[in-house]
Parts: sequence; structure tokens; C-alpha cells
Amino acid sequence: MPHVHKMLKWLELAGMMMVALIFVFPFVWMFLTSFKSLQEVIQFPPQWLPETWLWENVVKAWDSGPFLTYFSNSVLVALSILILQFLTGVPAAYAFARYRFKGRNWLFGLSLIALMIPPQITFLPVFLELSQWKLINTLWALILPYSASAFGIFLLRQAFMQVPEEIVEAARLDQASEWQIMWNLMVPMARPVLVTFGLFSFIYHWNDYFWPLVMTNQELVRTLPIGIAMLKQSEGGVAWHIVMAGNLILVLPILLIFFLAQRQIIRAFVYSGVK
Amino acid sequence: MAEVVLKQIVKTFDRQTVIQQLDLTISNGSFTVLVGPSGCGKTTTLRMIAGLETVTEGEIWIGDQKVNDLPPGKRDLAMVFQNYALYPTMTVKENIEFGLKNRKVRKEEREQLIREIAEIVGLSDYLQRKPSTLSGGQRQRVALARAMVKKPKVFLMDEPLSNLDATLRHQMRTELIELHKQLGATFIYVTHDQVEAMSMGDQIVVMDRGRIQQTASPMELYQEPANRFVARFIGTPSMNILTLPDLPGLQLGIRPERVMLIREDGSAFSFHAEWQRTKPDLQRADNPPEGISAEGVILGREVLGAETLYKVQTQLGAFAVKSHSDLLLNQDEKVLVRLRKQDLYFFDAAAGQRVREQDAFARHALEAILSPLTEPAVLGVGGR
Repeated sequence: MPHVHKMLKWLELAGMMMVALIFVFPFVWMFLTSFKSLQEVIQFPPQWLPETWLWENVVKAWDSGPFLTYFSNSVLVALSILILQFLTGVPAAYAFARYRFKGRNWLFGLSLIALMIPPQITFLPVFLELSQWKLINTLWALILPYSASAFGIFLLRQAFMQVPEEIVEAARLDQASEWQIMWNLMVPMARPVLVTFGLFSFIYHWNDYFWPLVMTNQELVRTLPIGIAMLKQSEGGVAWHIVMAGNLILVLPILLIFFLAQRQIIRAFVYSGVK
Repeated sequence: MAEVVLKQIVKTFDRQTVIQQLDLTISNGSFTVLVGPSGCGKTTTLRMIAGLETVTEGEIWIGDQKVNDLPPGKRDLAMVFQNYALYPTMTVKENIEFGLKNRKVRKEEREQLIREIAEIVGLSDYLQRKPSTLSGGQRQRVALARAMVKKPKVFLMDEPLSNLDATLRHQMRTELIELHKQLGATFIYVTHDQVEAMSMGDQIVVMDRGRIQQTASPMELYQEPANRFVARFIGTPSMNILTLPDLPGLQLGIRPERVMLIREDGSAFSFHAEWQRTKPDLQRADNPPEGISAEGVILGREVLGAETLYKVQTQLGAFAVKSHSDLLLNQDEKVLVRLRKQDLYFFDAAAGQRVREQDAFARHALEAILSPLTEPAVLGVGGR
């Protein structure tokens, strides 16, 4: 019997290793490719490690366009969206979770439906409207359509609903205003959920390719994913090693966040999973 | 300091009336306990005083101010909740400080107040801790400190001790009584536990189904219950209620601790201290006290140490009897049951209202069921 148990343990471990490998492999391949020469990239059978590590590929990628602009645009857009979604989502979620008003369920249902409609369906009317407001080719076109998140409202509402009513009542007896209750009590208590949502939102908009592609055609307002995709079009054939080096630049900040906030993130997911 | 007055209060939830025309005056500085079974409206009443629940009809006055439309924070009261309702993301200090900050109390003054209060409730070493790292008793103290620091005119408490274990509950009970004496503020305390109510309150309001059944001091409630509900609610085990065929329209009540059981060999088993005092009377053949006698058999017993509870079956019905004797009666043992006339209560069988002895005697030939209790031969031997 102990043998069987041991075997199962091994199988389990092997299974997990497999899954991990499938996820990690593209990243490893991207990393290795970004330091190879073009010759090494296209040779067959493929070579694992670069002969000499060409660190200058990253510099080349960075210099092949206004990458500093792309980078700062990406940071600006993703952070602005995050802040706006936070500012609109918290009061909305608080109202949905705590107030009884006419049409509450109907309105909440409406925002849930918004959650299920992909941007590919709505981009045309949104584009036309933004072009009427003359906002196409500005960062506003990338930020404003995402200033409220149905997903965020949904997650926060669930979190706020978990807070016992007595705590809110105690705060009311302590002369706290609704505003204070929302920001000083509810928001700190919903921190795990906020971290989860913040990550989702930031990564989604950091990586977003479709929306910036549609809304911009000038280098000044482009974001990183577009800039990197443009690398493909330069110099006749595709310089895969440079593209991969660009990808490295794209992924690095997110990996950094993951490494720094690893414990927080896992706790956040465990929290929102258990509750 | 303030008197709290409820005038003709009605509360309905979704067309269901939970409080019906409630009138109550809670005098300044009193320790008033609202007690009753769950669903009787006691917590709703408290929450209406706090302003956490709107009043459907009627008026609430605190001091000389009508507070119906005043928000909870402006009513100059503090509340302690059953599950403490501490702010989990704040430290103990921040929890206590929150209300002060909102009242724009200056920082030095806040520090001073917090230090004082923490000292009183014994939390000085825990000020920087989060509530989640504290024990139940400590959390209870934080909740108390948070209420006390505001120095309110009125303290509201909603079953604040029900989450504590028995020992701690007992200790906190004493501490709350002390606290009430120290502060001199008005305390309004909600509980479903009649023992808690009796031991803490100086005015007890017994509620049932949205109505006040009786408002009285603990001793008065025990000795002079206004109706069958109060009579049965106060005291453990509940008062025995008997329906006798000789008494149509009336019910007879007697407290378990007032029933005397006499063993066949003549030794008395269960008696109130007063029985002892009247024993010489019982033994006087010329003018014996009146009462009811019956023969019974022990159906069951619960031994609690200091006291023993018996279930006794007689031709009058089944009785609960509380005995303080160290000796035990056995199952199926035959006993004599004695009820003294002055220990009997009468209730209207239908409405449950108390019927005073004079009225009861006037309405019925009660004498028919009473007989002299003297039985010197038996009682002379007993008395343990």
C-alpha cells in the first residue's frame, strides 16, 4: 500500500511539472531567442542556447522606435484606467451592495451584461463617437472607454456584501459619513479583492493590442504592444530575435510586479476563492 | 445624562407589525434591561432608539429632544453589538479613536482619553494590536472602550455577553454593573437571558410579540408577575401552571421552589426558606395555614449539585419542583405535595392576565380546594 501511495505522489508531481512546463516554456524560449543572432533563430534543428549572448538585441529593439514614448504611454494608460475604474467602481459597488433603491437589481443586471460583451462588438460605435469628440489618436481614446469596469464592480460588490452590517452601523454611531464608511472601512476590508482586480485590470490593459491598434495610428500615442508588433514589419524579413527582445521589454514589468507582490497575489486569490 | 421616552411606538416591516403601540420611560441613570424570547421586538426597539431603524409611528425622546429624524451619530449614544462589530483593519487604538476623530476632538485630548479608557478596561498593552489577534473577552473590552470613550448620555447594548463563555460572562456581568455605577449614564441592555436580566437590571422590561408584558424591578417581577407569560418567563424552571376542573376559567400557578415535597417517612424534601419559618405554625393544630395537598410520585430528577429538579406527577397534574436538599428522592418514590395558599398565583385561563387572590376568591369557591395543611405527625419528623 505505501508503494501505491508513493507512486500516486510521484504521478501528481509529474503532472504538475508538466503543466508548469507548458506554461513556462514559451517564456523560456522567448528569453533565449531574444539573445540569439538571427542565424541561430531560424536554423534547424533549433539550437537551445545562444552561442554568444547578444545583450545588444534588447538595445536594438529599444532603439528601433520611440520605445520610451510607447513605454510611458503604456504606463500612463494602464495606470489611469486602473485609477478611474477604482474611483467609479468603489461607489457603484458600495451602492449595489448596501443601498436599497428602485431598479437596483435591474441596473446591476445591466452592468453584468456589459461584462459579457467583448470590445470587438462595441468598438465601432465607440470609435465613431470618439472621433466625433475628436479624441481619436489621443490617449483619451485608450483610457475613457475603460473608465468603468463591470468586472470590478461585480467583484467589489461581492466583497462589500461580505462585510457585516453591524460594522457599518457601528461606524454610523461613530458619526462617520457614508463617504468615510466607504473609503476608510469598506475599501481596506476589501483589500485582497482590490489587489486581485488591480492585477487583472493592469495586465489586461498593459497587454491590450486590439483597442490601441484601432484607436491610434500615430507613434506618439501608441502603446508597447503595438510598438513591438511594428518591429515585425521592419527590415524586409522578420527579425525574430529583435521582436523577442521587444517582448522581453513588454513582459518584464509584469514579471517584476509578480515577483514583488507574489505573496499578496496568492493570498488575494485564496481569499476571493474561499469567500 | 438623559431620560429616554418612547411614545406610542409602532414598527412594521413589509406590512408586518413587529412593535405595537409601545410606551416606555427609561429614567435617567437607570440600568434598564429589555428581555424576552427571540422575535419579541426587543432588539428592534433598541435599534430604533439608536436610530439604526426608522420608527413607523410614534415618538422617541432622548432628554428634551425628539430624535425621530436625528441620525444615529447625533443622538449622543453609544452601542455595543453582539458580535462586537470592531473595525477589522484598524488597531485597537484606531478603533477607539475613530468616533473621536469624527467628532473633531483634538489630538492631545484624544490621546489622553484613549489612555484613560484603555487603563479602565485593561487594554493598555494591546493598543497597537489588530482585533483579530485578540480573544473574545478582549474584543468585548475594545467594544466597550469604543463606546465609553465617547462619554455618551445613553449606552445601548445588544446581547453583548452572549458570545462569551460562562465564566467570562459572569465576570463581565459584574464589571458592567460596576461600570454603570461609575459612569452614572443610562444603560439600555437587550438580552434573551432572564438570569442576566434579573442580575443586572434595576428596571426590567419583559416583552413578547411586540408588546411590553411588564415593566418592573427584578424582585417585583418575580413576586408579582402581571400575567402568565411573565410568570413563566422569570425563574428557572418555569412556574408550574395547573388547570383544575374545580376552577373553570382560572389557572393556578406555583413556583417550583415553593412546592414542598414530603417523603413517606415524613422528612421534608423541598422547601423554600420561608417554609422553615412557618413550620411552628404548621405544627399548631388550632390555626393551621391553608393550602393544597396532593399525593404524587416522582417521575424524574435532574441533579445539579446545589439543587435538584424533580418532575412529580399528582392528580392535580405534573409539577416541576426545585429542592435544595442534599438527599435525593428516587424515581417512582411516593411523596406528599404541599402548596401554601400565599404561594399560589391565579391567571385568567384565556387571556393569561393575573387575577388577584381577592378576585379569584370572589369568583370561585376557592375554599373548596384548600384544606388545612397541618399534619403534625408527618411534619414533626421532617425539616431537613
